[in-house]
Amino acid sequence: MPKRTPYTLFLTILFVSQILLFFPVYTLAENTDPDISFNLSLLDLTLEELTMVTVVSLFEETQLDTSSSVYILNEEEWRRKGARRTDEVISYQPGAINLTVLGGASGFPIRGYANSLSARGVATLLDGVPLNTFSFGTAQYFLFNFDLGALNRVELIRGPGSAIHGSDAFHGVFALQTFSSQEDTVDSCIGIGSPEYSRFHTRMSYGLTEDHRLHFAVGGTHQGGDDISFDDPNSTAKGLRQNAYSSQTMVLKSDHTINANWTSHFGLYYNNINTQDFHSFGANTLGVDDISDDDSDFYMVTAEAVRSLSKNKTLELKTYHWQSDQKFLYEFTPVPWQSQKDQRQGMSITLKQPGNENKLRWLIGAETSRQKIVSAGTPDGPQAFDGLDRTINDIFSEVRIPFFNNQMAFLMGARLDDYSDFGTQFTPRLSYIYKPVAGMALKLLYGNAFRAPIGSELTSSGVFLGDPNIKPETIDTYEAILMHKTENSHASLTVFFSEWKDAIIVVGDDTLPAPFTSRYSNEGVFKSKGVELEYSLNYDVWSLESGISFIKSENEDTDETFVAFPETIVNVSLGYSIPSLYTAITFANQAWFNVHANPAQSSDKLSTIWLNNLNISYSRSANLEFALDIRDVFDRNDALPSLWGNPQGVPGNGREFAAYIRMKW
Amino acid sequence: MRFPFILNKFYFISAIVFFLPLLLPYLAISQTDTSKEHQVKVAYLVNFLSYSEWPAESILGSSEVIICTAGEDPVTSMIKQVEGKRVRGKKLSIRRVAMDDGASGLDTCHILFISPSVENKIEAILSAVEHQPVLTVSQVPGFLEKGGMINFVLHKRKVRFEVNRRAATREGLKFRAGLLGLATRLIQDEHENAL
Repeated sequence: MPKRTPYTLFLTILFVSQILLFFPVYTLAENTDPDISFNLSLLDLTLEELTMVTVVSLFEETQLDTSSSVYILNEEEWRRKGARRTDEVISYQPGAINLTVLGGASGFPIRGYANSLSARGVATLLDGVPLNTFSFGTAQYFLFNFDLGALNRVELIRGPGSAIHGSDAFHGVFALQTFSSQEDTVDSCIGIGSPEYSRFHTRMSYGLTEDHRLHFAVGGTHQGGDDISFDDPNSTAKGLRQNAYSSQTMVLKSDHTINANWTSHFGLYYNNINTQDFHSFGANTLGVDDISDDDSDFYMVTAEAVRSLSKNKTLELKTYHWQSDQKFLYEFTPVPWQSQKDQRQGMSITLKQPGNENKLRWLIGAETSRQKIVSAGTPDGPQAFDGLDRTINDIFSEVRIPFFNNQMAFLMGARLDDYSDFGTQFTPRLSYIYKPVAGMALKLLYGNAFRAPIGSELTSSGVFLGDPNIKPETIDTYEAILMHKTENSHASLTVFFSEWKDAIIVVGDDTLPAPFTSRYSNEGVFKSKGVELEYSLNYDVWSLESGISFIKSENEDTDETFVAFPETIVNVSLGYSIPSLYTAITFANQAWFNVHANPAQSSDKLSTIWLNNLNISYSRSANLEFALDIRDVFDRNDALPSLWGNPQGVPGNGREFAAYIRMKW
Repeated sequence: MRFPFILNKFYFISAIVFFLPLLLPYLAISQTDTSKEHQVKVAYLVNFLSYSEWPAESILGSSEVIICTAGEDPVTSMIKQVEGKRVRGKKLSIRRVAMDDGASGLDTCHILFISPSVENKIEAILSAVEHQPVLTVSQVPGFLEKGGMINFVLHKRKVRFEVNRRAATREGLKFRAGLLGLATRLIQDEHENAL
């Protein structure tokens, strides 16, 4: 009997579902005039007042049609949940966490798979531009805080995204959309709190003429010394960590309507991050004091032109250039610091027919980009990946075919990448969406993704020896999603299975010549499966947002599980408004169950981790708001998993306060 | 590795996908579409009556104002509920235009809402109301370029609209400044800009 693979299982499900789904399609086809009620009080609003009504209270219109597990965060949500840094928001969705890895930077384990390289495998996009570096395959080392005040929203995708975004969109996508507005506006925020915490941002949008608009945002955050003590019982490593950081962000964008057919957009971006005395590779890896710093600069310029063509087609031309200049400093005498300067330039052309949802939608495009490691060094001289560069040419296409007045739709996408250093990579995706009635969707998704080996994996970095023959790692993900949405509620159930092949991991090896202690290698097949539930409700003065995930991931060859990822995550955020007092209260909670202190199987199991934030806001007027955040209200100080192997995990920060004033001018 | 019961069944995913579709029709019984987006569009349609001026002979002699709909969608279903309301002293009348008889009777409409469900017939519908003082409204990309007058767009989670003043003027319709000032995009002739 042939072995049943996930692929054949998925096809079987797809086939059986097709037959079953036709029945309800035809029985429901007669229900063309559902009970639709109209709120007559809307007739009392003036035209101007109607333009101010937010029509989607929580969710984007396309959520039912999206062929991915997407979580969309807006500014209001990250304010209410007390986020201070950009990287914190990824854990607001079920099935994903953020853990600091090095110098205060974060890794994003998604749907299991928490290991020492979890900083890699999630594509970070800034206004659609891919930012993961050729040096280390992550943008989080230099951009873990792009000031939240400079953002309009964040889109989080769990699962593969390579058919759209290419390499690195492996476990997920972390897409940041910077500030812009179609109306003249100026607003500011200042905040102060503990430990020595302060932040500010100001942003404005101004129409120079009817056809020319500028958007500007500047923000900064500072957090002073924390004095968190650590003591590794297995080594001499002990001391105080400060967990101090400061960051500055600036964005300047311009939109220009050239004529009825052409629009153009330009953007300038800058970000700087300095951290001091965060945890490091872990005492077990280096056998020394577990402290590291990060010093990073980031610059980017973008230009885009959009041409409206006949029959609703658009042609988009986009080009970008960015540079990151990043340095880690360690309390480790043989390698006290390492630095790398990465650049990427790219240009793309996309022709698409968005149409409306009842029509065929398609897009086709091509892109060429160049990744270059301008410099990479340590005190001993250039690193092995200093000066490496590669060219990536790719073509991509996507088509969405609706049937039966969009009650059913197929979405097929594919991307072919040609890398100058290792050849081609083909990544397909296939989705089937069935919407029996308005507000409900059943989705069956398949996606493939890959991550191209990076400079440090192809050569060596610090104590890690690379392999020039290392292959791209790939992952296949199968998802079934049932989603139900009403005006004030949203519910979804997701069941997924993923198989990660040729995984690039760090393997400890005592036989390596000094200074190497470990090597990069394609080893093993990893699997993950689980269930994710989401439910949100707005009812009168109450609001509820919740997510639960049950996830198991394992190395199939060794039967070892990824114990540094919580088996169960429960996120519950409860909000209550008191309109008569112009006050809103939100208590946001994350609870992590069955998680170990680090990825080692023998590591200690941590007690249940409970992260929480109490937010109280008072709107003095439409233009003035005061807010108070209390993190870790009960001062639990729970330790979080250490991806680099600290026996006790990473100590938490304990209770923290912050007060904000937000003004609209 | 030992998985909990819920994850340990090989056919767990199969079962979920197999049985859920059978439940969907029953779940659908409680499903209602009260999308605020569609409600706001209906409110806009009624509000446009107060911000638009028809040629005197078109509306003065009539005791009712007529909003016609072409095609089927939540907006065309919902708008029936404003039938009989009074706007500018006249009773609102809602009429559905049958598309299978050449879209006849369009000349009696004051506002014509064209649903995206008949997007492929937009050119024919607009031709049928050419030289008639009928305010045409839709929610289809490129509607204004085809000669339509007002098109709904979603912008930053709000319903906004764009206006083709040139097309309206051609048919003898005028928009008040309050409406023009709220348009996210305005198509008009040079001399209209100065007015």
